[in-house]
Amino acid sequence: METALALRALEKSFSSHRVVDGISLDVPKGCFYSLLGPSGCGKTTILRMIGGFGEPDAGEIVLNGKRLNGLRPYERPVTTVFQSYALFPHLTAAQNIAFGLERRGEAPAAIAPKVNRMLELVGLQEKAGRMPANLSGGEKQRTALARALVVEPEMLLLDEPLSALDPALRKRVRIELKQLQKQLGITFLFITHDQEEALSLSDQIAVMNKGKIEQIGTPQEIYLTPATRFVAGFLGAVNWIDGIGVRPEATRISRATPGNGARTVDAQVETSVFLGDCFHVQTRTSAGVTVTAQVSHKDEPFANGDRVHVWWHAADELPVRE
Amino acid sequence: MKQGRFLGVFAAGVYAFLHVPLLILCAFSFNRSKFTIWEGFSLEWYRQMFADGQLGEAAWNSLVIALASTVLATAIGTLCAYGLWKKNSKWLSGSLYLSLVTPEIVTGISLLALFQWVFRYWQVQLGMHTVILAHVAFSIAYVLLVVMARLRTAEPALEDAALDLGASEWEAFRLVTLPILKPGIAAAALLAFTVSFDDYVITSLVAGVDSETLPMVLYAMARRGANPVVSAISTVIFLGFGALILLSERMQKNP
Repeated sequence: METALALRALEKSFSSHRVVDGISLDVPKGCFYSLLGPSGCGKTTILRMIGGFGEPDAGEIVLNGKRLNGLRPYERPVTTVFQSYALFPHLTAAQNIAFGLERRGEAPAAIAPKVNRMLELVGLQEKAGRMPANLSGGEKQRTALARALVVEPEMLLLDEPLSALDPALRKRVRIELKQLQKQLGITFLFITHDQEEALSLSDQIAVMNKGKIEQIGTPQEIYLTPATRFVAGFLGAVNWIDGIGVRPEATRISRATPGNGARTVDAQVETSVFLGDCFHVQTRTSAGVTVTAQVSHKDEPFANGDRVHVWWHAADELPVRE
Repeated sequence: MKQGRFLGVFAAGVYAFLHVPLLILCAFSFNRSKFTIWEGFSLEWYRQMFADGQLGEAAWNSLVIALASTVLATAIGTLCAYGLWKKNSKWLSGSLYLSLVTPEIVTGISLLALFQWVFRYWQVQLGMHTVILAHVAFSIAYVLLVVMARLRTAEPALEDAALDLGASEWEAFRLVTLPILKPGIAAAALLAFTVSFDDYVITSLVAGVDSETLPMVLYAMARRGANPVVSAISTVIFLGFGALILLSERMQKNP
């Protein structure tokens, strides 16, 4: 697949603290690519360097064969959806969207239809004349998206654009965002610390920690075959039993001794939490390790203090390197 | 209930303390008598005020000085505030606020010393230009204070967004930051105009023979003894500034 963005050995330090520590990655054209990691892992710094808001100390940023290092933000064929949206408060939604086209010197007659098409695309036709202060959170997010997309960037940078929305809205907007990306075919570089968001949206994910990349892969690859303990733990809950990682949904408990082929340890039930679609039963093994198992309603109920066998299939063990 | 009434009385007292002197001044400017005994309504002092050539000239000087120094101080102060906001240096902004707490007499004498030193090498004399320069010098800090307060509420990402969408640095300032700052700049200009029009101490030190301002003439008249013409002028100034403030509030509501 053709590469849109290539980062080569990117480095950046702030007052002797190395925030970005040798990042290299390739973002394929038309890909929904996520940088996933905890806050402070350097992902926002990378995004800002691609946008032109801070130069790397070392390394190269290449977009579609063109080196971006040293170019001013307005010379770069990328646009950003900012975390706070950064809508211009003195301009209407439509004027916000028109801003980038005007700066590119497009004729007013050409601008209006493009703005209207974009308003339609994000479903904001009725809100075109509203000031940002009079838009809801979701409408602001869509205005910011439309404003960045209308100039037809070679790549769109998204800096945690869903984090300011309430959880119910966030899930809906997530689906819209994914559909929009597929429809337009523009390469998205998406920054998030929310693993569920990254898993559900991305074609590819680079998991970052302390300025370095831990693993790059498809959502399935990084969830099911995490390369490091960090990735395993960041993407979801893990039970660590004698250095072996098993996800709660692959962990079983039973009173009877499990059959052949199963790996098993003895444990005692500590608590059982009802989560609606399942139970999380927390147990403590004889070695003193806490192990959580996801149990369906249909299974036999467990009471606190019950002596049980915790078991799993060898195939469900996470193939963590360390 | 009781506490509410007490607060009401207290508030009325504070307002009376602030405004009654002005009302008395206004009332006696329409008094036929020269003294503070009411003898009937008269516009005599207003007639005298308008007939006084020296007063007219001083009022004109004050207006020219206030307008010129407001324009200069607002422009310089706004750019200063913008620069300090971008630089985010506590030391630099702190040193500018210093001029706010410097006693006027010190500012005045130091400016006079500067002008006299410069004039040794450059044959110029004290006059309107030195007054305007002095007023610019002390107004900048006021402008800075007001514009900085407005900038602190602005989102730094807005200029990034403008650059991101293809605006140059100058366009980002002109098309995004400046419009957001407009109400702050208007308020700063009004404040600069007021402190310039009002100033006596610094002005009297750096003024030349041809640049007497209204406060200087008023001060001289008031010192010569009770004069209802002073009350009449004060009333006109008070009403003028009252109207200016109402106008600016209306402008801020409907931009």
